[in-house]
Amino acid sequence: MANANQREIIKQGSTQWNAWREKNPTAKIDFSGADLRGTYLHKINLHEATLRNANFEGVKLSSADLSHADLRGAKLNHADLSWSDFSEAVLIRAQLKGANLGQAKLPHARLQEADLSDAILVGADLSAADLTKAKLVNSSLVEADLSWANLTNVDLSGTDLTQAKLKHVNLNGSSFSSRTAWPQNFDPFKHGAHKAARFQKSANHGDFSITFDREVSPDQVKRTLTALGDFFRACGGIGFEIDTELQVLVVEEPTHV
Amino acid sequence: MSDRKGLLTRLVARVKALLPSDWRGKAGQRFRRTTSEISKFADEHNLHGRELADEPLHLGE
Repeated sequence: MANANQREIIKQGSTQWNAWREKNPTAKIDFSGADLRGTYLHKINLHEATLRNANFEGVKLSSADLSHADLRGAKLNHADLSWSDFSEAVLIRAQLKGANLGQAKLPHARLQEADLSDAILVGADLSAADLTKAKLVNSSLVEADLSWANLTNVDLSGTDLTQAKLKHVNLNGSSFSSRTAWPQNFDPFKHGAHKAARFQKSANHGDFSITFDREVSPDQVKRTLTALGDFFRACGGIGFEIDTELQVLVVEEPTHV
Repeated sequence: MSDRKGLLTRLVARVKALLPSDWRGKAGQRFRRTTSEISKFADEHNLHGRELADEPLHLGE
């Protein structure tokens, strides 16, 4: 934990903090669990700082040096992190909902299970970053660099990846929706991504529909529907009536050939 | 967003209870509660459709 003196200085803002840090270059910085909401930390030097579970929600942390920092579990929802340097930072399970990470540098950052839903990552450098099991729902990664990044089991529903660099990206087990936008000529299926079946119901009328994407085999469809029918009967119902329809849709995404 | 267009093939299964009273009664409530819990579990554990479809299903037992 940070001592009271360090807390007092950081709450005065980045100018005072950076001046103090310049005089104390070997001081160990640890703000684990600290509540730093309401502070102004533009251009702050938090290189190699320990910031586990610290709360920076809504804070202006733009153009900051957070390289090699430990931000495990930190709360950064709706923070302004644009142009900041997170090179090789640890952001495992960090909360970054709606955060602005435009033009941020995150090469080799560890973002496993981080929540980046609705985040702005336009032009961000995420090369070789590890985003395993991260949430990127509705986030904007336009022109972001995801070369060599690990996006295993990532939720990419509604994610905008227009003009993103995806050279050697790993999308194994990741799912996406028809609203996900890919760069031109990029085939997510070839990189391991898939579309999950969608389940829609109209609760009051005794009916619902299940949409199976083309990766689901006829046998898997049959087994799923049979199991649902068996389960409904086990619940006390008589059974289901099932109609199937094969749909061919024109969708706004690259053609997969 | 990308303005490229492509063709997507998918199968839609429309499922309806044979008796609407089943759906509104205890059978429907139990069915909906359990399928909601399964969906929640799948979301929390990041399980995807393909993984679930590959698992043996014995919900009725």
